[in-house]
Amino acid sequence: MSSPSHPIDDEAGEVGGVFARLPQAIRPLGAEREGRGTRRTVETAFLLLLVLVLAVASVYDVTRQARINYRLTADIATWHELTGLTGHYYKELDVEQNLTTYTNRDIVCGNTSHGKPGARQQICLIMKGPIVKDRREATGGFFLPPNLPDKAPHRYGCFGAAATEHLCGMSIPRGVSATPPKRFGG
Amino acid sequence: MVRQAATGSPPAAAARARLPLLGRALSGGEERRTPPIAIALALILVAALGLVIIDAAAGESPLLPPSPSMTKWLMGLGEPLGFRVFLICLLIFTCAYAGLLAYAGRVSKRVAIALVAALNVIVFVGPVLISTDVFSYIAYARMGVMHGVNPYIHGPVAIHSDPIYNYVGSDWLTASTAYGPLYTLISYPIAPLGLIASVWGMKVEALLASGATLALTWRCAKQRGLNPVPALLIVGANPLWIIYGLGGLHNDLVMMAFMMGAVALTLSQRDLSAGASIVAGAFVKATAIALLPFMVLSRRTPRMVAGAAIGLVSSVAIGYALFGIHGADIFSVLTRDSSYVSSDGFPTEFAHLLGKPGVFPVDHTLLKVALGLVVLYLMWRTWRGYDWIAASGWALLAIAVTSPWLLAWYTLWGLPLGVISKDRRLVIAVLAVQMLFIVHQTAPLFSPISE
Repeated sequence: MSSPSHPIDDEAGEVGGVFARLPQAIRPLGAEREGRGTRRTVETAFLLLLVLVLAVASVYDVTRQARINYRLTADIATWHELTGLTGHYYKELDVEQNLTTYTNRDIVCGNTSHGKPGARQQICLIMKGPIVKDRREATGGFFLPPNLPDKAPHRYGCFGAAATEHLCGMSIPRGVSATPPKRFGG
Repeated sequence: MVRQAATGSPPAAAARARLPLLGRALSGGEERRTPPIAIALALILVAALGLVIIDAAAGESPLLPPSPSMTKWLMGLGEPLGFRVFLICLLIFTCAYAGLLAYAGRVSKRVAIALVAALNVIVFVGPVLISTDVFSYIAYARMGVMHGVNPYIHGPVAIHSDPIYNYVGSDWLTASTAYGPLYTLISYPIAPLGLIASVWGMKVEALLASGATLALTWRCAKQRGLNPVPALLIVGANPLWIIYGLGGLHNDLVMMAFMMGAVALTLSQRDLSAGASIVAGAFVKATAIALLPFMVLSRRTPRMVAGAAIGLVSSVAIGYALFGIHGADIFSVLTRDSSYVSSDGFPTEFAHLLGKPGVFPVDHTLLKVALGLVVLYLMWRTWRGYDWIAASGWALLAIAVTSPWLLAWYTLWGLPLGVISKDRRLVIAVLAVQMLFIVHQTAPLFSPISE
């Protein structure tokens, strides 16, 4: 056991001074009393249980994230395949995951021409469903102006399911080309 | 419970033999020749960290924040740091660290200090790792010094024409500073140095804070009759301390230097200075205040309360004089930050396990209640004679575990306290939480995202 932590504590851990007047059950002690160790056993059991739960949650989350990474890779490959836009300049696509509900619906956006991520007109595809042969099903999409986040009022040129669900909040700006991918009749 | 330094006498040796491995390491005190396997493990630590730093210096990487070029002499030696190499190095480093801990009680003082110094210096010469936070620190300092803008009211967006603005993390552009006025004041002399020199200034600050915390941990271990060598190795060679804490130049290291200063002063029974020191730490980063109730309950001296009051009045006065009422109120920012959610937070992981998409506001409330109960229990235990250093460490660990906004460096808070506490369960719990954090980083290893 530790030595008294306070000058007025005696070797048994009892305190002197004003606190000595308190009932023994709530009196401060300079050092813990040796007991049967029941409390320590209960605490240790609780801690072990907690660590076990956290370990299960952590490992589960790693596998969950690995599955999501696999899905995002399929999203990106599908975007490249359907838009026909490949190569170095089309890297760093922005995949917007639906994190507020239980769906695996992702929106993948990327530049239609050379430029920093998001700095040019972007084409976005909506991905749904399971991964089949490393690809996912694109149900539709839309275009976004440069440097603007994906919000309904910024979307234009909706095609596929995006058109039927009326996801676009603006018409195609003048002088801007918004040809959908071939798969959607472009 | 382990306190006595081993003396080599038969009863002490027999008692040591009955202790668990980590406890034995912490209690052993005699200087001896370092086993070759411990030397080999130390070299693995240096090599794994060296590879990370060399690759990090090679250029653009998703693991590095956009940063001014400042480590040109290391360029060309490695490949740009990818997730795979980083995670493999992190895992190797962690395994070697775990192995080294098994021999920690047999490592000589000289080898331990040389290893920890080498790890600190290797990180020091490399680029900023993982986090953009240091650029926020510099931005807040430049706001005050160069632009006359109050960092407690405005975010870095208020100085968008300043070159530092390009390096601040996008999530923090509009956020006013979450750090205490003492930290902002400490960072002020660095602000006028220019962009690259400012980062170097922050590197020096982080290195000094790391060194000070380690030196104080050493001193506290000796004051408690523990072998300081394992204490130094557990903290100073810790993967999250070195790669994330020091690598990201986080001001948690400064807070921990104040925290361990307060612990050392308390152990020397200098209560007035200890109370003032822990409050000063809270005016670097508010988390440090978690120690104060345990210090007061354990010591029960008017001088401790007076020291805390003096620290509080002076810090509030400085904060108010320099930054107005927002600078004096360090706790309102905790309310703001406690609403954040990170993917690494244990509550988020647990929510995913239950099939929920994430943490909801009601969960935040439940977690705060749970944390409050834990702290009350620890305060009661401290009142009844439990080791206040262990109680403080448990409280800091509980804050990290129950926070939906968990970052790697938050898991460090309880570590220096764990290695000097009388309850060995604490250091084991901190290391277990850190291990789970590292495991949680490994998803890209199994399924990398490729374009």
